[in-house]
Amino acid sequence: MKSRFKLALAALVAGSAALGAAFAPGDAAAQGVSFKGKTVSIVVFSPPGAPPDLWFRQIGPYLSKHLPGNPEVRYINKGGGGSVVAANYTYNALKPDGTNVGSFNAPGAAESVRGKRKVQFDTSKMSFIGAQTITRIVGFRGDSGTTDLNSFVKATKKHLIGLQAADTPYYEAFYRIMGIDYQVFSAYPRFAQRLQAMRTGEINTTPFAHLTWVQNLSTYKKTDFHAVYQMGYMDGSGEIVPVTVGGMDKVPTGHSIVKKHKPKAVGSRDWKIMTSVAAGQGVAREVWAPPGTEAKYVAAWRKAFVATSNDAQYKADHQKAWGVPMSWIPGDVGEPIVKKYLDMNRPGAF
Amino acid sequence: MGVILFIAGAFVNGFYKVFTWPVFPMMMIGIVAGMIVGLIPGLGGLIAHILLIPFALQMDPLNAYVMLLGVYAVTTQTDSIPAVLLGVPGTAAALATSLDGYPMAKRGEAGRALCASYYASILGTFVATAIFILFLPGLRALVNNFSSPEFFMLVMLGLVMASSLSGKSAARGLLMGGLGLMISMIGQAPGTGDTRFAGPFLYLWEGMPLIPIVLGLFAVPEVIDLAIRNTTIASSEVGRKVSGLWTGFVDCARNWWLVVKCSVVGVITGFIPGLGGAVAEWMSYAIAVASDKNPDSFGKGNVRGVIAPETGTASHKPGAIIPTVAFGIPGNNAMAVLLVVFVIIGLRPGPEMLDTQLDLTFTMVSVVIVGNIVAALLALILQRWLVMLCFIRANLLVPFILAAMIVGATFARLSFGDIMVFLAAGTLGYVFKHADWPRVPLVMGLIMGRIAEPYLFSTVDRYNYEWLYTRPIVVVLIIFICMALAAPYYRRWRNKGAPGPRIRGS
Repeated sequence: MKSRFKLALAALVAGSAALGAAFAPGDAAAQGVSFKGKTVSIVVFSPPGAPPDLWFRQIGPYLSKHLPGNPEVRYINKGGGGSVVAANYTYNALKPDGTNVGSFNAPGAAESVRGKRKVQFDTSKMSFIGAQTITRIVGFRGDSGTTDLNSFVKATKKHLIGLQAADTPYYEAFYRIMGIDYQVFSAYPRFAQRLQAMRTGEINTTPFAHLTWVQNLSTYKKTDFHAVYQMGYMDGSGEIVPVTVGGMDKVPTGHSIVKKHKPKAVGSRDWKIMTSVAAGQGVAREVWAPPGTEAKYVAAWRKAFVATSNDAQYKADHQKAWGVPMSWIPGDVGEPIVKKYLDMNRPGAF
Repeated sequence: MGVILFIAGAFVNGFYKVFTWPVFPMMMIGIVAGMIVGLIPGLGGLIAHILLIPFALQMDPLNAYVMLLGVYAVTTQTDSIPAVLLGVPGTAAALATSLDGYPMAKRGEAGRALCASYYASILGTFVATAIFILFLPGLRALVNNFSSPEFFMLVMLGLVMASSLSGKSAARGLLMGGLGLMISMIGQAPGTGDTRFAGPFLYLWEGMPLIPIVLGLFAVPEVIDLAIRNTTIASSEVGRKVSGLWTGFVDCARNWWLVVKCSVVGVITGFIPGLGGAVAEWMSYAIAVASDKNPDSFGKGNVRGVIAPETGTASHKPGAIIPTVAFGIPGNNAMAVLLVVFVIIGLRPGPEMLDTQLDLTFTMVSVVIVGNIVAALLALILQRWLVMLCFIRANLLVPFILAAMIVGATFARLSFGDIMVFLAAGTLGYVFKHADWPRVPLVMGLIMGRIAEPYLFSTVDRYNYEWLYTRPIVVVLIIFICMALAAPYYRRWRNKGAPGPRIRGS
């Protein structure tokens, strides 16, 4: 009950902030901006045709509708390097004249604080426009013996987990805390290969993007897949909370499981590792303006994204296409989350 | 029998829908867009898909499916046109076709080669469809038995087949295959995400790009040689008079058994998710070489070297639709893109696509069949003019080919790095061609390495080394690999010291 109250409160805070961003300061800050007759560009961090690319192509016409002057929207695909290529391009190659923004994902943003030499961008000098929330729902095969939280906590059978390399630390830390026997397989190049491995029983558990899970719920039920826990995401209050769309509110987060069943582990190094990964899910697909972009343009972009996320037609399109409503974190709400996430991923943070 | 009747009924329903309004015109839009884009080396279907996606998102789902599948159906058919006429394989799928198709064009038999490729595509699609209707339940079971070890060994079989075809020196072929495998390791490692051999270049994190390498290795040497000769591509005037319409058909009819064999290969490799058309193409090519009385003639303009890969690629395509829509697991790279679009439009992949919605699945398969036929007919009509390309002087033709190649090599990523890779691959391709080192195994190593490595990681992690002798499909594939490795030596022994099959220009 207490956590539901917290959730509602967090949603209220985020909602108010979104409304605030949409109508109050944004309106004033974006005064005098018009893109009439211009073309605006969005750098997309995936190759053409990949899900992020299609997501941006779907949102493009609505952004055009809500940006002042209704400019044309074009896309520059800069896939690769775990989205660092797109981040580098956004930082170094885009003109900061207000017509350009770039996108990259949360692990890509985290690269900026790890001091790697291939990283040529600094988020502290860029302007955060906003981000889409995407988290992971962890599905299990029925014959794994784990079909719900109870059987997960008491698991005796080894969990064979198919993962993406970037997410691996979260699951390893979680399993260490829970004391469940596990083995990680992180070589599958794409989700499709993991799905095939799940179907044949080569692995018995794997995370699904929550959009994918909700979209294919009926098929997965027939295939005897079960959603047991989720990674959740960090909200404005700094808590890791579950996504609630499509009945996912009944699927607990890894953090809540640890709190309930292994309370002594809260605050441990492994807990911090889990948090450092989960924090990025709230701001999974980020949009940034290059350094030097004037505040009025940043405000215009922020306002356009928020207006799009509230656009009834877009909401319906998004629901139809992705199975869930668009969950957009506006720039001013997301900024502190991004900062926390980056701080957690600095070398020596644990 | 009841099951087959149900499947046949669903096929008839699905096929019929293709010819209803406005499904048919939508499919034609896709076909025409796909044909135009397929003609430009390197662009491939992806570009046409990207151009059409904004329209597709606004359309009725069925119309959108058929339009995008219309593109998918024809791009690998029209990419054989530059491969045969100009020796410029724009995609890895057209590579095998160009090995024998281009020498035929130089002999003045471009029309015959192209017609053989069109008819092979049509026949391959028909045979593939028949196989579906008859064996769909069995194919479903086959997919359920393919885990990482089976995928890995099947990819290895494809690589060994391509490498061992490379002439009297099988060792050279295998060495080049190994080099391709090493190049495929540039970039992020599967499993750990660590970057390997990328040096200070962020560009290399995603690995070496395929299209600039294929175009550089194969097309640049041909263009340089053409420019040096400064003549027309075809030295014979015969081809100007004979369109090859009938000859190509007769070639296919004479080689009907080859068509059936390659269709089976195409269906199986299409149905097994993630393998891609290159495996189908090269396995088919290898079957053609292995079953020919005169394997030496391959690479010099043997029409069977055109028929086999075209059949394999064409029959692979309808097959790749099934795992995509039924399991949500794309059968090849093109289907990976289409799957995301289909899901956005409203498709929900699942077993019901092979059951209650089987007619929709067959509508999709039918688009590929009809698309292949329509594209072939259009190409046959345009044949007479297309073949004229072979009779244009080099000084007029080369600048256009070069420009098209650079656009094709760089369009997908708009990266300066792609131009550098294209130029480097072109230089190496020229050296390899004239030093007589086979280039096909290098490209195959690059393609197959990327598919095989993650499966090898997963296999060893999951099964240690037991998979090598405890899994029946793996054991069968190992036997096939050994046979493919031994084949050149056996052939040499049988021919009492005569050289093995030598694929010129490979």
